[in-house]
Amino acid sequence: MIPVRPSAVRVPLWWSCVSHDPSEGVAPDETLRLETGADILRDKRVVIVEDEAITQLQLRKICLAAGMQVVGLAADGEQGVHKVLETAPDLVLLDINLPLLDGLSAAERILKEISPCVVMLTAYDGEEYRRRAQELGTCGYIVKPVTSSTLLPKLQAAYQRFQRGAQ
Amino acid sequence: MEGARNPFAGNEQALLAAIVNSSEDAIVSKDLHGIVTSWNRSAEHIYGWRAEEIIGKSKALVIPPDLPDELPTILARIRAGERIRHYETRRVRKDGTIIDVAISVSPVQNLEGVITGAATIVRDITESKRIERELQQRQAEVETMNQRLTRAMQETHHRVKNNLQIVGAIIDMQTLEHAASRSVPLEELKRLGNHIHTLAVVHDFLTKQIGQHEHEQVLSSTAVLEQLLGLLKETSGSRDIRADIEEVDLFSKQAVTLSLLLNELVSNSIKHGTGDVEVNFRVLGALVQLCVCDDGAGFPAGFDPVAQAHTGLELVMGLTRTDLRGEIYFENRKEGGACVRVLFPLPNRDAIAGTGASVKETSA
Repeated sequence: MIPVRPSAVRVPLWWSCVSHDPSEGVAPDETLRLETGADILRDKRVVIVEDEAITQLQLRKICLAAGMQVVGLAADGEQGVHKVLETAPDLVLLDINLPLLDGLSAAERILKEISPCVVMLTAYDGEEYRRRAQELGTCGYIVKPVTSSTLLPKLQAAYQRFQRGAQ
Repeated sequence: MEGARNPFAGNEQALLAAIVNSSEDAIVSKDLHGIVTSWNRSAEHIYGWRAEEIIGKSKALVIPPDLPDELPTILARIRAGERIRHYETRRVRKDGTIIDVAISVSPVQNLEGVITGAATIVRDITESKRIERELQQRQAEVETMNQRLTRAMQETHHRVKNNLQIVGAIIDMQTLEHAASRSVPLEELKRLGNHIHTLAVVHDFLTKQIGQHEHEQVLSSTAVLEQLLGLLKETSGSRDIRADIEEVDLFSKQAVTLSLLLNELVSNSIKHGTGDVEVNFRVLGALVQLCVCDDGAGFPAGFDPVAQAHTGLELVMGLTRTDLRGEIYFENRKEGGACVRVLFPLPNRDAIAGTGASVKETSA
């Protein structure tokens, strides 16, 4: 065992699984906002449900850079449903292949209770998944891999559709 | 034809007897009680009973014991005047061997038109049945191989796509972090290159053993981490990396995560520390511990990894918490130098053996 000082810093449990202030870590990026025309997403409250750490981190950074508020992060479907119902966000970014509860089942449970703009974000490109997501009333289906420049325009379009549908 | 002569001319009975005896199929007759009344040469060959041994005895002698109802059923249908067309069944030879046969049974009438017995034509289909079974077995094997290949292709596709997502995400995060200066430091590109190497190492191991495991793919911790450390040593210059790696079976996702973590932590130690880098990977009860230490200045007083978070540090913390469901500690050693310790639950051995709950392979 490697001897250590008792004053070791332990990263708190909450670090990667609860909400973050939008001003924390990544500041809204004006350049990015202008380039992608992501104004419509500014100040929107979002919950990210993604079990892959690196992708979760990336999505959080993209959302913060676009001026959104990340009000919840979850790494499995059950936790995701809980976070969304607890925080009632404007947007939900939802992976499909999740532990405990898959993303489509999570979307179904969420949309039975409240009506945020749920965007599926997945590696599955099958027609069957897209149709199921549409039937459930999700407002977007985005296939990975994504980057900030590909994700934000699609997210914006999905949110516009959602707003039009709500009017 | 001129000169040709029918040797059976005028003797139709002899002609019929000759036809029956020269047939390759067994042709036998029995009365309505199942007693054998005639038995041709092929019947002798197929069943192993000579005619004089079996005529006068019950046909039940050639029916396997597990088909006791077959002879009574046939006889009942014959009495009713029914013809039993080609069907496949089994018979037993004199030496006890079970054979596959195709059988047709027809009622035999006397001159008054009364049914007095049955004529049976039997063909030995044992060989063709064997070939058929062999073909079915081969077909099943081909089907299994095909399924395994399809699964392997799907797994590979998913893993490659997942790796591309990881690489894309790291590039994207660097782009966001350095958006203001609109240029990413060369050092970060080097780090990205190491991550790509890391993913390639794990991908190699997984590809070599793909299809060998029905459930979750598992990898040896020593094989993966030592290979990766070998790569890191190539770029560590004069700094030595001393490693003590204990053997643990890792799920593929854990292997990918651990490799990325190790790469990030060793790169940090080389960048910020001095002296040799010490890597220690061992089992502590139900937990596994990865320690990466150096002889540098250590973490400054009041070091707060959350407040200081940049992409590299966030990556390390996110991989530990989200992917490994573990804890991470940033510590200073008594003898000097920094030490990052990652503790995570030992992979479930039941699940590795394929008998327990599966652990998710990769994200979609």
